[in-house]
Amino acid sequence: MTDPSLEGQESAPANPAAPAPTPEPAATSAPEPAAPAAWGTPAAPAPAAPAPAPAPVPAPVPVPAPATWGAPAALTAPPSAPAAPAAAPATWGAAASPAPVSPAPSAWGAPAAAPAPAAPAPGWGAPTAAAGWGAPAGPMPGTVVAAWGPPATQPMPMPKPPGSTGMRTTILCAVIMIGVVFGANIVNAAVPMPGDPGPISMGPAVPAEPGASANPNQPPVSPVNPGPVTPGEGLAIGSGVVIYPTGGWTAVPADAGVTAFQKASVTLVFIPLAWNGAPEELLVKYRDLFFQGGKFQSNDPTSGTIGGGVIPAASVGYAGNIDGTQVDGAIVVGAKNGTGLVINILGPQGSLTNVTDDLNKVLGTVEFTGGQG
Amino acid sequence: MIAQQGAFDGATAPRWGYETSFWQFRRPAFWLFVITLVITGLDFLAQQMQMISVVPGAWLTTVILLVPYAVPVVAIIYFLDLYEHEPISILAAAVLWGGIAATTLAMYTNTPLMELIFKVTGDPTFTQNWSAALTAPFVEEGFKAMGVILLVAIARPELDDLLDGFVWGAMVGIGFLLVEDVLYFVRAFAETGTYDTLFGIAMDDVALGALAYDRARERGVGQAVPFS
Repeated sequence: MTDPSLEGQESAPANPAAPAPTPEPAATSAPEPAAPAAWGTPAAPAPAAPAPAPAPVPAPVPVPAPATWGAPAALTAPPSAPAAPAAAPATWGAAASPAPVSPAPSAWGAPAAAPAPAAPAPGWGAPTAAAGWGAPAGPMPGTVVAAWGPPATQPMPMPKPPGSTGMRTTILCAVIMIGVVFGANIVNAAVPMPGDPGPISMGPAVPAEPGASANPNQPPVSPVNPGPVTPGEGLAIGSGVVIYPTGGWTAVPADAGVTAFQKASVTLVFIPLAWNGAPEELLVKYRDLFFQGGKFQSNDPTSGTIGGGVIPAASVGYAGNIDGTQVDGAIVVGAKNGTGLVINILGPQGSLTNVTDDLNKVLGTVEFTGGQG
Repeated sequence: MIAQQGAFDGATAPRWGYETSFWQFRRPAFWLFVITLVITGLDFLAQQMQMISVVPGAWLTTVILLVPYAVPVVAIIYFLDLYEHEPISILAAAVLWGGIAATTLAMYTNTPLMELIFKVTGDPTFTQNWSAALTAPFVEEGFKAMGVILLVAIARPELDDLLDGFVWGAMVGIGFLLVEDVLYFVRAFAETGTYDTLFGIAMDDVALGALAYDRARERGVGQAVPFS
């Protein structure tokens, strides 16, 4: 006779985590003759397959308690063990009689019992009262729990009931998504800007072209009231210029003739004025004035259009240092029919990437409503 | 043999022989998924159309640059599960969620949170250096995870093991990354007027890989380890 332990290992299931055998319905599977459940020790003569006890409730899949490899029954199951009559073999290698039911719930990694069940499985975790044993679900006293499987007392994960449609999960996901998106925007709108940034003075230095008489019929406009702007709502900022700010910008106090907005750390300034010349000329003039007294570098102006392609424009990007902070900025100037518009946007280095879309939208929608025709 | 329904339904056993699809009309999660995708898809289309109208060349260049990057990555993810390839409908839904729903929802959440950080701190330098790191990883990863959760709620029986979850999550991540990169590329072109930056960003993404760990997380880690 070979070493019981070795023999047991050789005969052990190759994959302890393999799924348990599918239970067969009782009506179609009569109890099979008991297979030798014990490895390494002489099995007791297999009794005649008993008819399954008439259980009031279906019995679970018979799964014995975790086994010890090839351990003789005498070493693992003391006589005082509270084994019920016809209890499942507690250990591999123990002589066993076919057990029609087992109180121990199945667990992954635990080897399945040899005999096929006599009754269909009622569902995981359902306690059975088939024999009324009250047998402990845990390993028998003295049983060494196999290292490759969880203890038998660990319940199987409960599958979802067949009728579950995931409604609670869906509602929870919807609430989280709506709450996060709207919550962030609501809280942001409720929190005011930190302090008063003070008047922004980037415009008065821009001289109107001598002799220019832009939009003489345009009525004077009131300064834009400080506070969050309404996205898409047109704002007349003077000289017949109407802009359509995007969401998230806040109008801030500025010098006369200047309209300024802030979004996070980015400042956007509009300066409408009378101008009969080319936008490139106004751009260079404004840039030189703006750069006075500062440390700025700019690239060469490029020409283009704004206002949906109908207003000739020129733009230049710049970088510089203001009060020790590295800033990026861009100046866009549009001029048409005696009206000029200087747009200066600046913010800490790299911050303009967050507002590029906003700037493109504003530039694309700006209107010159007046002019000399 | 396919396990009998009822005995092993759910999380108890891998059911590699059983396949389901994304189209689970009786699942509430399916409709939430679709409705979110449609709503965000409209905004997504508006964004793309705007980019195409402003800088069509840059937009097309980004797509051309990203295709050779995306195809092998998607293929690798798809063939990761040797035993059972995931249904195409679920993977396509995952990519669409990452590219459309997650990006759009994140965009409308990141921006106000960044502004909020500036309002609370009043420090433009801090906002510039930390706002993306403080908001993007949580917001973007959260919305990506939401897509995976919804997919699980839709097609739970298809989720056989951990690898399936990885594949679904990676598909959401690659969808997000591709759309996000288009935005970065176009912005870079709009700011510089050259294609030089595009190749830099492309190489950055390829080098850093970023399947499920996108640029936002990289930023978060990078900011947390300033001396790295």
